[in-house]
Amino acid sequence: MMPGEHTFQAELEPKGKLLVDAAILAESLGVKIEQVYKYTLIFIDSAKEGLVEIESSLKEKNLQAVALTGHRLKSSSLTVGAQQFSELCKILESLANDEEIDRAESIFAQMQLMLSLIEANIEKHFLQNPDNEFK
Amino acid sequence: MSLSKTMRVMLLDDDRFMLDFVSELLKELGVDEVLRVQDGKTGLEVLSEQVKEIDLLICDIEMPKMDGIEFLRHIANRKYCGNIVLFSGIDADLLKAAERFAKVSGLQVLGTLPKPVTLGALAAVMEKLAQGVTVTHHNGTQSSKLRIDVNDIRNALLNDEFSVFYQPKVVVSDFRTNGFESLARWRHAQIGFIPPDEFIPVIEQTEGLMDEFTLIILRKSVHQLALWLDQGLDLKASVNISMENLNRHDLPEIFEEVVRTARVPRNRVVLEITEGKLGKDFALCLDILTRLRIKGFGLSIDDFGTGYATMETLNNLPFTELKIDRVFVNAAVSDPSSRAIVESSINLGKEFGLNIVAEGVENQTEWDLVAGLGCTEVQGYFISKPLPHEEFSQLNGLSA
Repeated sequence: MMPGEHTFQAELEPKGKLLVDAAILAESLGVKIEQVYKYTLIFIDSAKEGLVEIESSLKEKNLQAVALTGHRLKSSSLTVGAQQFSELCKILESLANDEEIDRAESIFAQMQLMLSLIEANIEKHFLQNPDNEFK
Repeated sequence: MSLSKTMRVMLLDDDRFMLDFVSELLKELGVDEVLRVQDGKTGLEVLSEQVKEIDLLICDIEMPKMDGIEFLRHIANRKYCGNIVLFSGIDADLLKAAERFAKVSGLQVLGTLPKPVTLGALAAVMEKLAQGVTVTHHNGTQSSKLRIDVNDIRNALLNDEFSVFYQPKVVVSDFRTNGFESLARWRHAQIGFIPPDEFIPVIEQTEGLMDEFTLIILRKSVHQLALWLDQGLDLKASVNISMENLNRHDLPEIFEEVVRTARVPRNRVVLEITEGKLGKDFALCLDILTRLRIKGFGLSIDDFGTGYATMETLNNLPFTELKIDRVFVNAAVSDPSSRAIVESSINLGKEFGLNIVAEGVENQTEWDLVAGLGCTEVQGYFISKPLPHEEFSQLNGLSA
């Protein structure tokens, strides 16, 4: 466990729910906390691209494409420890019936919100924490 | 000739994040070059353009347009012979099915890498790859894949280059080491350790060689077992035997003689047979296995869950032990279907009165799970990696 990690988790979700678990990513990286920020930002960029794809697929009512992007984002989000985001991806991945398009849109809206929260909290944490001056 | 290992890896994944992330991990692990490809069609083009051989292809299974299975089918048709690791977040049983497909298609599958990937999991794959798979000759730029042929094996047998490592098996109820699995290791004079995956297939494909090889490993194992029994350890030795061994009626007598020479009780020796290899000649298998059991040897069905064994197989063949494959043990913690497989395997084993061993237990969570489900013994890195005899002795309180 690296200095600042608990603070990081706590700040991400003041109500006690976890949005990103830095420890998971740090473990994936062999506990190199300085790289956590970098990969979380790459994830956010990638997730934003994914959400654009999902939005486009939803407009085309292509639930299969939505599910495939959901599957892709599920693995990425699990890798950075974004468990709740990953759970939403998992639901999206499981929607195969065209009648579930409304549900897919609802999940998509939640994912957009959650990603912006993740981004804001990560920025806040890493900019405010003097122990983590990442280059 | 001076040799050093170099690594070129091709990473095929439709997720840009995963490409970035895994590339960085690979570089952390000393990989010299990572070719990043985001779709199967481009992957085929990149592979066909390579002049220099790729040491490892890490292939995502679920991708849009051309998925991983289709990609593998294409490269199998093109006789691709490099090492492959299947990489995916799909369920463990699906990943296993994909692995089976790749293998039956003639591809060289080094293993699977479930997502989310960790540095440790990737390091294990790269270590497996590094153990003699690729060599670069310092006198030139050519990189050549290690090709082991039957003459290499014969020379190794002649020069006594095969040694045995011992992986402890521990009783769940009291944490006592009550046995070990003997695992063959080949220390090549120039390359170093060569993993069994590299040389066992060559041995299996050469008529008569498996008999010689198995006897050498059995002799060394029971010889070591005798020493440990003399020193007061209460152990059983588990030795892998191949279906290729089950081709002669006098096998039980040959094994009996080896064990008698070592002055070891036959009921201290368990012979492990891989489930997937059963059934080629059922009558002959039944003949030999039954007579081995009559002589007192234990019989273990290895890698249970990965092959085609049924309740009928367990009912007809005189097994004493069932070993649950590591793939299911590792996945059971997070994957409900793998957990169901582990649970039903344990229940099945209990029904048949078998000793039940969970293979590949890597952490406390997996230990807790298999122990809670009623597994009798555990083997895996959580207990210990396979050890040379000196270290096994030390682990069990003996001086080396």
